[in-house]
Amino acid sequence: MSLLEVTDLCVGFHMPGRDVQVVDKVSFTLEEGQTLAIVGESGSGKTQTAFSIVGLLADNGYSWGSVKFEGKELIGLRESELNKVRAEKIAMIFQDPMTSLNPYIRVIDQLAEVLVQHKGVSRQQAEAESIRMLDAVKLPDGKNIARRFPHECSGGMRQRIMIAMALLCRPKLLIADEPTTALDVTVQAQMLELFKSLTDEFGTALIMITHDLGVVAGLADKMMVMYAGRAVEKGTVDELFYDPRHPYTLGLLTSTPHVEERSRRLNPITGSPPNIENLPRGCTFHPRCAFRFERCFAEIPAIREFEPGRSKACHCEGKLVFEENVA
Amino acid sequence: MIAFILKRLAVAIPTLLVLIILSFILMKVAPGSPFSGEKAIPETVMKNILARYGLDKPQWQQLLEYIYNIIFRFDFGPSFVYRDRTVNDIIAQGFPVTVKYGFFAFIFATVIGVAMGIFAAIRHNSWGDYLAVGFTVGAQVVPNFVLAPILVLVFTLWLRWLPGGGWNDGQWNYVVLPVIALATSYVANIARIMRSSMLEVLHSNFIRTARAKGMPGWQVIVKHALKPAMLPVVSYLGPVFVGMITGSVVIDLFFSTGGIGQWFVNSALGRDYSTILGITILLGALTIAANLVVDILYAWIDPKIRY
Repeated sequence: MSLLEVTDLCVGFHMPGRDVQVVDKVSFTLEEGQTLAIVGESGSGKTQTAFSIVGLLADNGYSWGSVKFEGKELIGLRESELNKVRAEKIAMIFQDPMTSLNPYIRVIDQLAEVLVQHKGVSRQQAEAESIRMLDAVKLPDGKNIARRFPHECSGGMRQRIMIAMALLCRPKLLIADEPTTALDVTVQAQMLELFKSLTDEFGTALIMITHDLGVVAGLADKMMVMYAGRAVEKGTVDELFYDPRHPYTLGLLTSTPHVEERSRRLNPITGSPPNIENLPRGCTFHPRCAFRFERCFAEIPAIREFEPGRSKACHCEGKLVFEENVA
Repeated sequence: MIAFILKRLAVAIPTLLVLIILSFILMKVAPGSPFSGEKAIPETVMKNILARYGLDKPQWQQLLEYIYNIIFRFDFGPSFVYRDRTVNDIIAQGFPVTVKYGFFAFIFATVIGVAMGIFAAIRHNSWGDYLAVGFTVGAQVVPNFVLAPILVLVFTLWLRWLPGGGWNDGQWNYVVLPVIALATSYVANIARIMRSSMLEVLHSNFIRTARAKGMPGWQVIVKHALKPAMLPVVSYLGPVFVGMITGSVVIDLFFSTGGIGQWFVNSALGRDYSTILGITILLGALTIAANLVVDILYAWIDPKIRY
């Protein structure tokens, strides 16, 4: 049994006068201790996919399909049941550490309440354990920082606090939604280092949501690329990096600069992501695709396994040859 | 913090002085006097009356003596209209009444208003929300001089549950209707402010974090959302508190409660200089105190505020 088994997960939002579906039949599995990167542009549905796993969608959001965690179905679970899973089994780290901590409550109180809630320990034990965790995320002088309010900490410190908070109950799964996006580059590197060492140390599985392929390369085992609410390619990181089979994955890779290849011109993906409420007919990527042919205009490619452990949603067969992209 | 409070108190003294001087001048500028009536008073009698109240002295001397008496004797002087009473007597008689029903009205408005606002926010876009919003709109458009007779009609004349007026030393059944009549529109305002600020807070990132921590819904509200959502309400509560305990003319007149609001209006109409000044200073001092309390509460709620 996999730790997490997501099958045909869909997410929709009630909007005034209409309903909008932002995630369409996404499936993936995650084993214990593994790291999965979900990659995609803004609006590709990667964040909503992650939020719906623990039922954290906005009030007007709803999800269907199946999310099995340790064999237990999470979709449709009552809020009180979900609360036992949240933080205790599946913890979350959010994109913006500046606003994700409560500005009106001291750091220590925000940490300790997690342990009091889930482990039923005394206040003193919870505080002592929280301070130990602040030290574990390599905050200098955790005791002092614990007494502070969030606004008295820097962005990097706050994200470390968020990580400490998420790991307090030693969850089986950590979901990090663009945890490095709001931080400056030097802090980003430290943070990735920290993620790597902590998930190894605690044996935590990690879902890393990002649009930064550098993050993926350094951290993840598996990778799922999303476009316009659908998964378009899945596989191991090495497979996708060295042998991308979906034109969108290829586009992402060739639009990223590499240190080794100074002279190469970048190949950006032309156009912009489609409006989720007005998707193009056929393959949603075809207006921006260099490999398109007639079939792509009419028929939505279903995601299919073309090699053991690798799947993609594209009508093309075989390897993609980069030169064709230039035309 | 202590320094801040002392500084605010130091500023309060000149503020009150300006208030006294301006009120004094405005009253003297207004035509008429406490003793001018339909019947002309013989000149010698008038002279004696003016001498008795010190009104024959130059204006600046009257003002200085008045301020001197307040500061060193806490004496607001005799009433010009009620021969046998001083202003201190009038305040001692009317103010406790006003404080009593005003205080209850304040508690009532705050508790019900805040609770209703939270309820509407967490039931956003449901029937409960619409009902609460409907009530706030209704309560805001019905002024208390319309609400008071309706209350008396229903609870006194039809149901015969509560007395329709009088004070009876503040026995509880005499207090209920004035409190409701005074508080209802404030309940509506507080509920409206609470609802919108709570909705805003509930959509913030740190509330999502609290939910991700597996906290039960009520704990998310009480521990994480209430404090920030209360900020706009607290700044509104300062003036509301002053407005309530300084009395409402409408309530005093309609329910004959004998509160300070009634005295205030009567003394203004009767040019009772010392009574007007006395009550004005009292209200001014209370306003300053309430604003100070609001500022202190603000610093207590929001750790980013440091004075």
